[in-house]
Amino acid sequence: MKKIPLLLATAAFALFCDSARATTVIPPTFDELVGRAQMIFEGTVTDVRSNWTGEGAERHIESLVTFKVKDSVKGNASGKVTLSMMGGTVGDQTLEVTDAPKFKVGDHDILFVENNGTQFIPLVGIMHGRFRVQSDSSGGEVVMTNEGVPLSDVSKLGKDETGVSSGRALSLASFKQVVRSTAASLAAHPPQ
Amino acid sequence: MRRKPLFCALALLASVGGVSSTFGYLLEGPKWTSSTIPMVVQLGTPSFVLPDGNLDWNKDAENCFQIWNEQMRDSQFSWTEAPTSPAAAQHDGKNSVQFSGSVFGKGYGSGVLAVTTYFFSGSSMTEADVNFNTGINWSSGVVAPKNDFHRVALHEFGHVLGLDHPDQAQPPQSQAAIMHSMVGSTNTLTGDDVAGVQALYGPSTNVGPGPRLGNISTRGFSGTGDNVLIAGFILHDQAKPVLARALGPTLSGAGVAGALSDPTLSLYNQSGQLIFSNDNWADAQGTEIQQTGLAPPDSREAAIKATLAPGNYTAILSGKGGATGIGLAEVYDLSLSSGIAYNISTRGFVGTGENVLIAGFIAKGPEIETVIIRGIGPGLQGTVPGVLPDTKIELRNSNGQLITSNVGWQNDPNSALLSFYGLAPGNAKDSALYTQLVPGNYTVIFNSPTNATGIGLVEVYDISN
Repeated sequence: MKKIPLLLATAAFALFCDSARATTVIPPTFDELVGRAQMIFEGTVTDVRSNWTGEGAERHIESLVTFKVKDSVKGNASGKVTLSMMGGTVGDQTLEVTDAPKFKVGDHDILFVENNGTQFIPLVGIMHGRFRVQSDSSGGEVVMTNEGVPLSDVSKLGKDETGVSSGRALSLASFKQVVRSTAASLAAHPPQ
Repeated sequence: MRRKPLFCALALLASVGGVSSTFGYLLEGPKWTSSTIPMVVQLGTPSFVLPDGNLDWNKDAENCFQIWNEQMRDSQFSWTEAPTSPAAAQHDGKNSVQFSGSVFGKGYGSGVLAVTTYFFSGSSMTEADVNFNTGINWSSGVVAPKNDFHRVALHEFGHVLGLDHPDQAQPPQSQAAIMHSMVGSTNTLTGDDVAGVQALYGPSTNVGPGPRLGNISTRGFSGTGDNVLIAGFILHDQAKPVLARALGPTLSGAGVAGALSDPTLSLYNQSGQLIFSNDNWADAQGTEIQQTGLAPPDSREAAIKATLAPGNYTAILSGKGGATGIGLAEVYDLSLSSGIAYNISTRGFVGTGENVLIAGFIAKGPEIETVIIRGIGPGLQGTVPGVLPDTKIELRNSNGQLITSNVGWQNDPNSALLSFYGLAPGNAKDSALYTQLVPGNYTVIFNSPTNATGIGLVEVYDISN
């Protein structure tokens, strides 16, 4: 199979195309993430349980992921929040959903939530609506993408995936501050 | 030297994580253990002509299955088509591919193009379903880089096979791959995708030579002198057996008025030397030509079978005894596993109505064929008298539906690519277009947008190779 010339052709085509898109999910920009989210919170996963749900053609396995809310950044999350995600394991049957982020007890995340209960993965931009909180070498808390790469520049989200992680990871405090200020700005001046 | 423990640790990491140490592919975990993966395709027909030549959405998906199949040894996609209604069900034991407004009753969320869900038990896949979001304004082909169904389907079917996103591996991998979550302009399998699927299903021993042009043909008016029908082609790489044909009476039988009653065929090399000629195909190579299965239907028609070294060749179709009329010149590539026909062209008199110049070609696959098509008229000035003063080219699929057209190459949305490949015509009134096509039969209609007439040259370049 002669791939290289075709790759050259497609690479050449890319030179003249506008921005590339994700294969299955068009990544949201930071403003879209914040604007679309009905609820944004920092939380820790305390429970994941899966069960069969739905009837007839819609019967599937779902996982109920429960978070203990540490800080509500937008909306009114408090106490515990349970998100319904398509997929999971019941008995010897597992349903996987491509692009869906995977959660386990103890995960420390910031979630951008939309349409919980009615959307197959209730996060803005599916995997793009989940950020991980990790400790850095100095003991501080920093923010990573769902893929585990540092989130260093929110302005590049949805525009330049390489640029998203081109520097040091943002601190958790800085990230939440920019989310809050963006949410306030969007509330004051909704996009047309 | 204390390298072994580190090497072992890396190897273990690679195997546990499902990541190749030399490639970036990432495996989902489970795989199909059966020799066939039966898919039910219920995508239906679009309300418009797909720009990559696919005749409907089902065929588009099936081409993607073929592209994956070509790389796999132990398992192959098989498929059946089904009506779009009733919609597929989750966990029904069928592997369904459909357009749907939801993922089995749940909303997609904004920006989601398609979702693949799969059930597995232990390490064996038991069901996989692919839902394409009906909320997306789908098209297909690289000329529609946004929402390209073919590219997304190729990616989703990689998930069905058990491939995950290499850029979501730990650590993330950066190799180009159709399986990247951020695919960019990659619209076919890369070495990384092939390595991934072959890690699951073994390497195929049936990999074809890749996209190529299998046959060229031109129908036009063959006059006398400068107005005879001239077909040109360029062979790359190595010696290649070809069959050239000149048809006339067969066209009459198909209802074409004014066809040549007795065409002749002459084949010239790039030095302009006559290397073969023929009047009636059965006279000299009758048995050989019959064995190709491509013998002309009428005994008065001409054919030449020859093995040609790489180079430029010209086949001239003319009427016996100076007769004029409409003829069909064709060149078939008889050995699709060797040398590549890079370019085909036909120079002839471009008239109106039945007398427009018509070029045909077959794109062999299963991969996408990248072509540049040119219709040259004014650009021939100074080389031949009476050139076509303005030009128009239309590309049609095997159903005769218009895929795309061009009047004036600078109006082509991909005109920058014409220049990039050094194939921008010399005159603004010459026409050209760049496109990528799935396997199939295609026709180029070359004429004047103002119903002018004259000598013109229509060309098809294989850019994939």
